[in-house]
Amino acid sequence: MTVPPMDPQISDDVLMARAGLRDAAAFHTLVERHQDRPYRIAWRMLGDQAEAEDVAQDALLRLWTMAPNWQAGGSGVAAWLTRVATNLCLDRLRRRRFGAHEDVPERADEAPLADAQMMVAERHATAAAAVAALPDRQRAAVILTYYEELPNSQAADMLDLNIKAFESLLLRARTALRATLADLKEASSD
Amino acid sequence: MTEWLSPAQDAAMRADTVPPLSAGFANRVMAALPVERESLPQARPVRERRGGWARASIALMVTAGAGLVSMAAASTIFGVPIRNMPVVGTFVERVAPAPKVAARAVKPKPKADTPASRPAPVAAPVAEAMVEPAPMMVTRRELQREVVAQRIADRIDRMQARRREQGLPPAPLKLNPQMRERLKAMPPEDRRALMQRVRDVRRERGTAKPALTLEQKAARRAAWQQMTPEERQALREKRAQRRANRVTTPATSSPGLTRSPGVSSTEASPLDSESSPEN
Repeated sequence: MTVPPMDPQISDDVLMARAGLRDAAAFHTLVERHQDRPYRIAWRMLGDQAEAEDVAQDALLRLWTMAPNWQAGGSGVAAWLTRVATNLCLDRLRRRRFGAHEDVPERADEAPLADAQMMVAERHATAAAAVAALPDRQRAAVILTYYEELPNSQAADMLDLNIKAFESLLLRARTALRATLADLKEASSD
Repeated sequence: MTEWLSPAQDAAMRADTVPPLSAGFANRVMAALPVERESLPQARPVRERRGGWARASIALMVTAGAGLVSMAAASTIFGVPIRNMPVVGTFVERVAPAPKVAARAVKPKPKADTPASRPAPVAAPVAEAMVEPAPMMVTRRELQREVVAQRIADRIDRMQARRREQGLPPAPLKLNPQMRERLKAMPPEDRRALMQRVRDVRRERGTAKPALTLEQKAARRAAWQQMTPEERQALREKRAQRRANRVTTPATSSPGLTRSPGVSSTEASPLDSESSPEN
């Protein structure tokens, strides 16, 4: 289904109102405007592009389903999608842990393996592995606050935590991440 | 920005970039939108092999059965004939109408005033047996009759009292048209019973002319028997003429309750104490 996007100046609430009336063009504009964030969160949480696209698509379809009941003036479409995508990822991780006992798939290292960049690539892989090694909710806290740059209060809201509990969770995540990345610190200082 | 990370760690974290979405992702999302239910045609309800008609007929039969049971119970308890029941009787009458003989026997017949034209009570016992009212209904009818009789007697007494005060001779009561119509619509036996009750009430009050004693009746009968046939015929004609005058001009007739035009001579007026010597 190819639908021409609408005027990018139209606000999300207006587009959601039209989507509630089953205006496909309005929803197409919303998809193009907000598709990246749920995908990014899902990719960082799950480490798999296909699965991340599945999560992003699922979140966007849920947005379409609830469009008729959308309340304008709330936290916004982006925040709603962030919350839904985060919870979908946590659900998938939980199922993965209780299901096939698979480990997080290794990401393909797309960086060129030139000698000049070998050290940088190794550092990137170490950072990605350090994030992937965090427990699910700690990983989500780091992704939301560090990569998506959400304020703590909003990230706590996404994870259905109060601010104190979230800050405690984030502190534990940062401590673990720093410990994992200590080698990088020493290497850079050397 | 990130005080909790060293610049090297921060750079390593930042370098962990996300690959771009695959081309046509938005179109795939649009293609995956669920089809709205409103756009689908209405699904036809799956009907059972025995459709609604079976349920309807069962419900109808149950209702009819319950009606029959309740009808029989009411008929047994209250002793009311089925045809006299308020609702069910209508249906029963429609399904199995009563014989016309019975209906004709119950219906009041306005007849001429001559005794010869009295209807012979041939079918009456049969009809009365078929539509014999329940004791409760008889009681109610008697109560109504008593009330009406009291009312008629009151009216007669008041009128006669007024006339006495004015020094006028007694005059027959002029019934209003509604009362006259009601009397005409009554079955003959009811009308007869009502008039008899009015007479009894007035006698109990002492306002009516006293009934003839046995001696008076015997004297009249003896006088009648001594009359010649011509005298008897003249007396009959005179009496017939007097009755005719009562019917046509009630105000000028002899004292007593006026008979309505439809009332036969068999229903005597409550004030009519002139019993025929023939009787």
